[in-house]
Amino acid sequence: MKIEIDDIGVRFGGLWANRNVSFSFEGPSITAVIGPNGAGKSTLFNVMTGFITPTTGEIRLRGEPISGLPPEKIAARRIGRTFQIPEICHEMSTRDNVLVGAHRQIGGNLFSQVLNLGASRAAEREAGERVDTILKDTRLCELRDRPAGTLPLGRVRLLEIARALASEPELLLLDEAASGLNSQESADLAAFIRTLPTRGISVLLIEHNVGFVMELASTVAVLDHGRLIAVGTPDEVRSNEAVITAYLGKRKS
Amino acid sequence: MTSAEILQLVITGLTVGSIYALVGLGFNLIFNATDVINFAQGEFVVLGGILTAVAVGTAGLPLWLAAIMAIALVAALGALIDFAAISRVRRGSVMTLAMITLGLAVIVKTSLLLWVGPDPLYFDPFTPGPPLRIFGAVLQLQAIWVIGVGVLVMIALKFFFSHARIGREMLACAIDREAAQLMGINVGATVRLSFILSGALGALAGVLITPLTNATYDQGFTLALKGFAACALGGFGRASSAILGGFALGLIEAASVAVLPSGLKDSVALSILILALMIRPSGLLGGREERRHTQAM
Amino acid sequence: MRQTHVLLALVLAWLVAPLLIQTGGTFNLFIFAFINLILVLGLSLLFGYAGQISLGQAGFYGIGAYMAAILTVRSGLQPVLGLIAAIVVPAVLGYVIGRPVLRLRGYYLAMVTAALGLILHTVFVEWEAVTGGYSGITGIPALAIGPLTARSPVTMYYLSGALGFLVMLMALRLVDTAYGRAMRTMRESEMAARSCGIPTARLKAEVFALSAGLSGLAGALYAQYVGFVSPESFTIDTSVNLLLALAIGGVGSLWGAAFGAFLLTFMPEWFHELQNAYGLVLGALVVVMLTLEPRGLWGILLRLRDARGKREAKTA
Repeated sequence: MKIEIDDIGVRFGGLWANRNVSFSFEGPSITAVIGPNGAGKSTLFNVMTGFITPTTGEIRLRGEPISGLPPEKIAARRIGRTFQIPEICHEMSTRDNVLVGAHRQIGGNLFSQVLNLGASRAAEREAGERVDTILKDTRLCELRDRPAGTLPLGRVRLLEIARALASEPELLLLDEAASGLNSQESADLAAFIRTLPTRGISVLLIEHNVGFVMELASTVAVLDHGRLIAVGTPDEVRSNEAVITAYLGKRKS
Repeated sequence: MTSAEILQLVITGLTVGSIYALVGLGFNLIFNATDVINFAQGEFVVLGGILTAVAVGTAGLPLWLAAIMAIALVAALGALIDFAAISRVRRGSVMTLAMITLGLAVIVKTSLLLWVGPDPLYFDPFTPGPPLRIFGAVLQLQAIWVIGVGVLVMIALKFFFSHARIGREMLACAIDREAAQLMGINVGATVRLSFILSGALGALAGVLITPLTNATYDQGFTLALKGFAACALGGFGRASSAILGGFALGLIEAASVAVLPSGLKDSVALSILILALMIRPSGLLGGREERRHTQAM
Repeated sequence: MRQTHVLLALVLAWLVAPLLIQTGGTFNLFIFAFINLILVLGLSLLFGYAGQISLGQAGFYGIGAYMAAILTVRSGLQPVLGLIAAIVVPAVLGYVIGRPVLRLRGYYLAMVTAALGLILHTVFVEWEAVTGGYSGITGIPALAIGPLTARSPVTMYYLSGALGFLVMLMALRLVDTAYGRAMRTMRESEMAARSCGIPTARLKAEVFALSAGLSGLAGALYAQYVGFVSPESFTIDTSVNLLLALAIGGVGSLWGAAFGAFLLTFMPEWFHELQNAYGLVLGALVVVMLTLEPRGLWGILLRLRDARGKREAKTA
């Protein structure tokens, strides 16, 4: 799994939300994109997940360009994502929400599913087993039949991750996954994320909780005002002048 | 086509366009304040016409008094709708509110059917007298009233929104309700006011147009759709776009009668609506899209 | 599965009910109730589950009815083929229209579907050569197998009932499949659905086609039973009433839809002094119901169930 972000630029009206952003990473690994508010992290994220088409540049997965593809096709290339403000189906159960992630694997069409024809039935059962395992791993088992809308925020974030995992991704994109969590929940989440590369799943984290990612990521990219100002190991980035200025020193411009 | 025919067309188009613009403005007012589309907007217009007709015909009131009463009543109805239904629905979504207005539209329509029957109602034009002849085209005196009063109202509204404090507060609510609330603006009162104004605008349109087209109990929904089309043409959220859209729609509709059978007139306006939304969902002049939370960029 | 038990009980009741029914008028009501059931279920799947509002269902209802009428009366086709065409043609039309139109959301979609319905009604009225204009088409041959014809109330009661239960069964099954879950997720968050690989544009059009096909089926049943079609059965009021009936029963629930359909059918009977103006009651019901409980009657039942659950938990 290799992602190349090549000179990505995104322009809204007169404003460049991303400008000349280039870096790459390979899997399985944990990578983080950090930066102050308004740095353009979410914009980059939305380019990677197909919700925005970049004005310039390209993103390549294993050499194949994926920027400009719609979200469904990105998902088909085994890239899963979560959302900064969770997007779940409140009235469905936790388990059903996670099952939606396995939609592509179940396949079939309206008729084969309604009539419960052989192939659909087998695919549904297999997906169900996989989802039950994921529910166990993310410790959502006891909540599996509860309507997802009744879950607290920490569990909802886990639910979104579980749903993304159900699609058997190679790369998991987490958008501010630690936001709104208390320290115990953050620690649990970090521990869980750490296990993913061992299962062959790479993770890209967008965070503005810098402490959360420094322990986890092997590569950190720093954005500020839409541009990439540093990329490297957590230690390299921590001592980088430009990064320190971006976070601490507010230049009057 | 002769120039007289074209001029006639323009006159007709501007006349009905004025009505569509007024309906569209009514839509805008409520939409800006509540994100709700008031499906009963067309019924306000019909009520305005029918109430006035009944007051003049049955109660023998002078026209000006009947009209004022009708407009006041419908404005009060608007306030009642807000008080009774809209402001009370806490758990519902915007769609729920819209469906409530749909139910209200049905109530008004069937009430009118029960009350005055299916036949069109009528009252005399504001100023009696034969129509004017301008370069071969016929200009009904009432049409002058429709266009004139319509334009006056639009100018007044513009002024209201840019200079009157209440008007600016309404605009602030339209742009960002939470922020307006934080600045101390009474959002509830603003919503109530927008319903009142919307009712008054609709009823005024009804009063203006009835001498020309008569008022029938079931005209409401088609009118609402055309008012919506006016907003869609111009783009939701901006008063000026509803006005421009309304006049544009009126002109196109008038032009279509020249080439197509009159039974298709409404379909033309509706097709315009569909096309406009398909080509540019946020309106040809660009408007505010439905509010929904967006990811931080 | 509690739902299947309820359904079974209803089926049994339906099977034996004719023994108790004396008048043809009652059969009439039930037939129209089943026709309305199919219509409202289609709308429920489209709006309540896939989240796409439509104020134009009467258009597809009418196309189905006119298709069944025209093909059998003008082209001399067998009624059964007319029925099939009445399902397929609206469905295909629904898919083709749905692809572009369903890019719109909320009010825009409501207004555009209303506009489409109105335009179709105008076509029914103006295209006299094909549709017979205001007078419509009469003399529609009835579906018949031996002595059983669709024009007889008892036969139609069983035919429309069987189809109604079949559609209900299919819909209940559909919402629990992966397809149904995709619909329900799409309704709440199109972004989430797309990120799971769900092709939402296609899904929306497919559900639109499904509801159009169901409306067409209802139209064909209507045409078969009544024997003639005319534009006044397929107006914007028809579409609006369907939506209001669904709202009263409960938008997000198939059982709510069923309840709404029966309410819509039986209410004109209960209020027949008001004739066409039973709409007053319908409108009032919607306003009152939605103000109190946006999820409709089904929502009220859910609230009762939750309240009972809490009480039991307290005493436990």
